Amino acid sequence: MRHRGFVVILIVALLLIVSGVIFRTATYREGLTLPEQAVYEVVAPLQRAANRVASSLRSALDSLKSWRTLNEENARLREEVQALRMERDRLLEAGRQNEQLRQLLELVEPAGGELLAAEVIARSPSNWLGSITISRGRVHGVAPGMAVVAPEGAVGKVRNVTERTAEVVLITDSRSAVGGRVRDRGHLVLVEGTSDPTEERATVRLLDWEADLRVGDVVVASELSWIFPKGLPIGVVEQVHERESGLAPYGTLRPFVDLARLEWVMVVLAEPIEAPWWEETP
Amino acid sequence: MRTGWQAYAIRTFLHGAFLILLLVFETSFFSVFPLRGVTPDLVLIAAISVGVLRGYLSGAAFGFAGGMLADILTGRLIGLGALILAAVGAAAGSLGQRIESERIPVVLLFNVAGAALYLSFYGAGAWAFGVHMPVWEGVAALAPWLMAYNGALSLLLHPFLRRAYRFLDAVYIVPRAPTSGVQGR
Repeated sequence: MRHRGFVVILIVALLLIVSGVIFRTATYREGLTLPEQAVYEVVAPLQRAANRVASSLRSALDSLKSWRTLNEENARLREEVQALRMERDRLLEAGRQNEQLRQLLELVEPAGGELLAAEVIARSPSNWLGSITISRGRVHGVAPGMAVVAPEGAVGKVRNVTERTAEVVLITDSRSAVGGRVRDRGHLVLVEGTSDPTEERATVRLLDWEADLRVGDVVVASELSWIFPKGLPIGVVEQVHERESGLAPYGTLRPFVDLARLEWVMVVLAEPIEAPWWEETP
Repeated sequence: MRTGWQAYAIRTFLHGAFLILLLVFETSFFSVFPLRGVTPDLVLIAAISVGVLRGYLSGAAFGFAGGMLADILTGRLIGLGALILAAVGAAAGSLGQRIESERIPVVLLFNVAGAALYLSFYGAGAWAFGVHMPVWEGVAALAPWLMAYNGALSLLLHPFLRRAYRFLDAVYIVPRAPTSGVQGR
């Protein structure tokens, strides 16, 4: 009887302690505790090895799938390379002129810095949250708040770092919000993560009630974003939802980066600035 | 053949190593092969199997330890997954004592139901602790694919665990508590 009472007390105490820990970790915290860092560091080399095996396997499967369409794809890519070369030459010229004009106007370079390549070694075990673990950490100069990008555009923001790894919250995660702009028409928007973990999509909300949103609109990081360099591509509007009474119109955005198949990313090693409230990670 | 504390220590170490391996496979291997954006929950499958094979106490302990490790790697709501996995492992162990839980359709059913329960309780728990996410929409989007993925993988993981326990029982003899359920099958 006494033994049973002791077990009940033990279970209640355990439940109380765990509830306290859940409550403490439900909201945003600065940094990781030592046990958390230890777990990350111990599993990171194993995760890297497992991820490489899986990536090789997927590459092999993809090669098999694309075997039939290889010739067609080659021809298409050649044409695309030609078009991109012309586009690059045009952009280089525009960039040179832009630089000259900047110097004339004495404008400050927007947030941007040295890029550090990092391998994606793991994803969050929770299907509810969209975050990845990368193979660079504090010793490589990575700090919380830094932007993470890919050649196609925005990926996410560094949330936590250990010595040799970092956790990156993806732009599609429900904790993410990024200041953006419709590239062609200049409307300011807020790109928010969604809680539908099966879709790599984000919600795009117009900040101007009078403005409109169209399918195919390209959204880039705006001067309101303190995380991403201004002008960095974020995604394309895939669907526009009906304007509800009293609310600004909103749409569904498909990121340019294929977040489900990320293997390599780049960390922007700029001094992280304290994010404004709209880009805070809760 | 070992007995006593040595056998306990070796078993605990092996369970710990197995848990880490499961998490590594879950986060780095199977995450590369998602099913409609959903990755399987290997710790959940293992907690159910341990419960069925070793009884509710073992299922609860394994679920709690595995859930805690997964929660630490998630970095948020640490302990929520651990409590739910402990409950699912204990429930599987408790039910496993009452019915013929070794049959494949039963193991499959446990895993499919376990996946749905785990997602529902995790979503509801997150909401209760102030993390605002549309719980039922999330469960509806995730559940069918997690149930299918976990169900399929349980057909591989459960027989593996059964053989592993047979081997351990043969090599390491540990005096068992009377509450530890259906054992040595």
